[in-house]
Amino acid sequence: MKKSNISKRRRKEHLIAYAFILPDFLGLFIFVIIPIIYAFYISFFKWDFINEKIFVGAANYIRMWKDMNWWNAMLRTLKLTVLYVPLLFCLSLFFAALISTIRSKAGSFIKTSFLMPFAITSVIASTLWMFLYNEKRGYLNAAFKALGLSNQKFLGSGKQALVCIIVVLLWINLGYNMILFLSAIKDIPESYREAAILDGAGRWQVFRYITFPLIRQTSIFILVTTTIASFQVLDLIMVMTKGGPAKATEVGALYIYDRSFNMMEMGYGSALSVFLFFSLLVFSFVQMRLTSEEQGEGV
Amino acid sequence: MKKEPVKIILLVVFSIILLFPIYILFMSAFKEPGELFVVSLWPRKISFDNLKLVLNPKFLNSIKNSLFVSATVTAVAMILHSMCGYALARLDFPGKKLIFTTIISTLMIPTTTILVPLFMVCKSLGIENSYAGLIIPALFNAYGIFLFRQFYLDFPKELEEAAEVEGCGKVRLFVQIVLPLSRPMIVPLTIAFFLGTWNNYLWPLIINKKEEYQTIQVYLANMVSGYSTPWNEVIATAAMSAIPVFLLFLLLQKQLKEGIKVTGIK
Amino acid sequence: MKKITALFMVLVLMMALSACGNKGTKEDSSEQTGTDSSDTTVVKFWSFHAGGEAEFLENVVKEYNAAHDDVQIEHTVVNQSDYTTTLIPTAYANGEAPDILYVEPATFTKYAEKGMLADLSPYYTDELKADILPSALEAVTMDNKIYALPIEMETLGLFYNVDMLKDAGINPPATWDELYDAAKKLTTDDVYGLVLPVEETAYTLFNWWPFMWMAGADVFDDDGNCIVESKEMIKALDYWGRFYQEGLSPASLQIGPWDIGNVGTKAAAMQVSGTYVINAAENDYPAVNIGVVPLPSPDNNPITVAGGQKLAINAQSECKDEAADFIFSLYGSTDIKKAGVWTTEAKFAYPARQSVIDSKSDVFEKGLRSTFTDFYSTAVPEPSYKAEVTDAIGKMLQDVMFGGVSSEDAVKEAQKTIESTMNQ
Repeated sequence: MKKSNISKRRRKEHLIAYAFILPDFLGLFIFVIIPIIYAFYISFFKWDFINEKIFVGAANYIRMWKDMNWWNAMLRTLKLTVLYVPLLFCLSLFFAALISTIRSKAGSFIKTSFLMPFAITSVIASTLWMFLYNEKRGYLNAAFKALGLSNQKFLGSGKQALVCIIVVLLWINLGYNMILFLSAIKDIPESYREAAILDGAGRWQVFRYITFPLIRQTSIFILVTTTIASFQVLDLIMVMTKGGPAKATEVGALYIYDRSFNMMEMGYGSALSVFLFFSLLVFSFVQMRLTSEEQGEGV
Repeated sequence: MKKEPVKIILLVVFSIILLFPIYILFMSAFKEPGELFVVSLWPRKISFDNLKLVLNPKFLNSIKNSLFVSATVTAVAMILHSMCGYALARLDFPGKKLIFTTIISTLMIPTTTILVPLFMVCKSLGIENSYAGLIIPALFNAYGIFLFRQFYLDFPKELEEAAEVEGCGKVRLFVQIVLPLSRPMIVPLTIAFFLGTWNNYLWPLIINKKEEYQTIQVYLANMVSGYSTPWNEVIATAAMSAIPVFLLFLLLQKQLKEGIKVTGIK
Repeated sequence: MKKITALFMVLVLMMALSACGNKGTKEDSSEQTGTDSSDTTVVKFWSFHAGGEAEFLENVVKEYNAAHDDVQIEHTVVNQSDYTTTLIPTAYANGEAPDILYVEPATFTKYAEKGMLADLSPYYTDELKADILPSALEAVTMDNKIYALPIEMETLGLFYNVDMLKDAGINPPATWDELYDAAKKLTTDDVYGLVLPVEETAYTLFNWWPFMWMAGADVFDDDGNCIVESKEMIKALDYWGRFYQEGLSPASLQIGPWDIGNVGTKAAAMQVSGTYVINAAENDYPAVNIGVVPLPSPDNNPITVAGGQKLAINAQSECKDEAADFIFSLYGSTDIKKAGVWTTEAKFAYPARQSVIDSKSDVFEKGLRSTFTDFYSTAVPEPSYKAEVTDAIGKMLQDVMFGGVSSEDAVKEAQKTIESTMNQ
């Protein structure tokens, strides 16, 4: 691209683009990027919030490498991500597709009810779900009993606790992501689908070859943001289990929080965060690459 | 659409399951303290005592603060992010990929890690213990930019082309054509931003120590302190504090109904 | 475009509506700022109390501010669980920490070692030093400096539902075997026999220490050697773990393990909790007959633990003298009225000063309090270990309670972890 070839119009477009981006970028730079750079910087120090920072080189990263508790926590994060992200994605897409075909007035009731849990703060959501999960006086076990099933420990069981938390996450986020899919599906001109049906396509084929490719940008968005969010689940776990029982729900974000604030090892906590940051970066870009390559187009 | 009734029944049943915990929240707000933790589908005796305890000046003040902060964040963020998202999706300029990558990557650091430096930034700007401290850092969120960008990527090219033929400049095109047609995104984003700010707890807790600017989530969390939490009051407060958000949903519900861009093309 | 305008109108409307809700509070805030003038010293004080305790603090701050023109206490109430975790460290890092803060055994060593707390020795009179219970004073002393002012002593006991035990024909347990048998008999499909803490927190350790001591175990010996790996520790862990493994104690709790609501709502028949719930036990559950006995022991020799909050002053503070004047006038003055009100009316706890205990002796014999008073002499101060040690013990407990790890393996691991952190 030679500079001399850039026409006046294109240069004007560049200027407009920068002007559009500038306010947001400036804000992000001051309030997010600077703090991130600071966290990166701190990760090479030993710092307890109070006393002078002591430069320790890569010691925090070496410690991370050997810290089995950290890797176990990351493994739990991965488990949560692998279970939660596809479930949320498929369920919200399924319900969006289903609701989009509904003509009746019940549609708006359904949409609103799906969205309602999104309004409940995680502290309250956790309290509410503890009403349900309670072992001896919980609604779920009451229902299980009525169905002749055996009593479950839910949050008190090392095997079930993480799944219980995933269920609450789904409950909160399903409706919102469903609405995002729904908006995208609605934007597809009806004529596309009608044409496909005239050509003899079945319902699944219409979905697979018309609807799904046309909501690609929304799909990428949901996939990437949900993955990022799944790496950072913290408040639900803090209220419901504090990482227990026996560390069964101690995910990476909770471990970072614990090291940084309970143990007051901000330098080490930052090093763990920086690692999380780069793993997410790689993860997300692989996701975006994969989803866009399939379509033969750059992100 | 012969199968419509089947689908509706399926969806309504599922909706009811989703609503059940919220039903418990509101029903429990009317329970007497001793009955709160008993499994039941209806209070033995409906009591308004909890609700009376909830409606005190501190609660109303925190609701007011949360409404103000959330509404301001939502309105301003919408303008900033739609511009930024549009430029990233539709305009051509050098460094686009790098800028986009940088913006997206800001989502990937755990909030708890940047609390301390963010506090430092805000302190040096002198905005701690004020509305500005609650609002300004909450505005800049890559989530909104990303969502707008994805939306504009799918935006019909024909529209812009038509406008350009008419000699419309990029700025006018954005303000007069693109923005009005962005409604399908603005609705979910209003919800996302309003709720994201409304439900934010950690940041308001750290940045503001003045009771006059206390937000509802901090107020609620402070109730669950000490050795004997008045759970009946907490549950009733939680139920009351969800009402403004539900009202917002009802207001936006009409906007969710309509098909969008397609109508604009005609 | 119209619809977008409408949307913004809605937002503006909401802001306008919300402004109406403001009226009730405006007066309060003007009252607070009204007294500010240029030469007053502002002392920042953060608390986390609720209910009667919060009321007490609000009143004493108001009273103090009214009596002083040159000093104003700026009192902020925050949430207890965020107090020591996020708020205090973040504030210290930014030089925004309160001048007056609370510390407890779980945080004392951590804060004092890092130099966060000011040396209060100059503010202690000899009279006061002699008045404060020796163990309480010892708990806030490090390297011959006194870093905090003890304001209360909280001890643990076994609370129980009197009628439930009577109906089952069980006497309040006094020994470990009796406690286990009682818990087993009282556990049903919807009642837990005994509520013990669940999560990996400082509170769980607070409850664990007396059980550990009663078995004859300890974390360190007198010379500071780690002695976690011992027969006694295994005995204590086996006993403690059994309640969870056999489902006699909950693995997950809806309300805090300290909350007397566990027995009050009949979700549990017995519960280990402390002096701090006595007021709630008497006032919040009038229909439930709640009793209390000393913590059961293996050989009828009960030991309990004494914890409780202490007030400290920020080492970075620029108004240490003013801050000290406020806290010492409250809890360290020869006028012991307020210190007495705090421990007998605002909450129930044992005062950290002999003179206050003597002046209120009638209160300590009232109802459930008499049990605590009778075995108060068995209280051992809650240890204040380094964070790494606490962490290792916390993990050891979780592993045995819920991780399926044998007590033998758990103590071995804890011993190893603690020794390695001590060598660093």
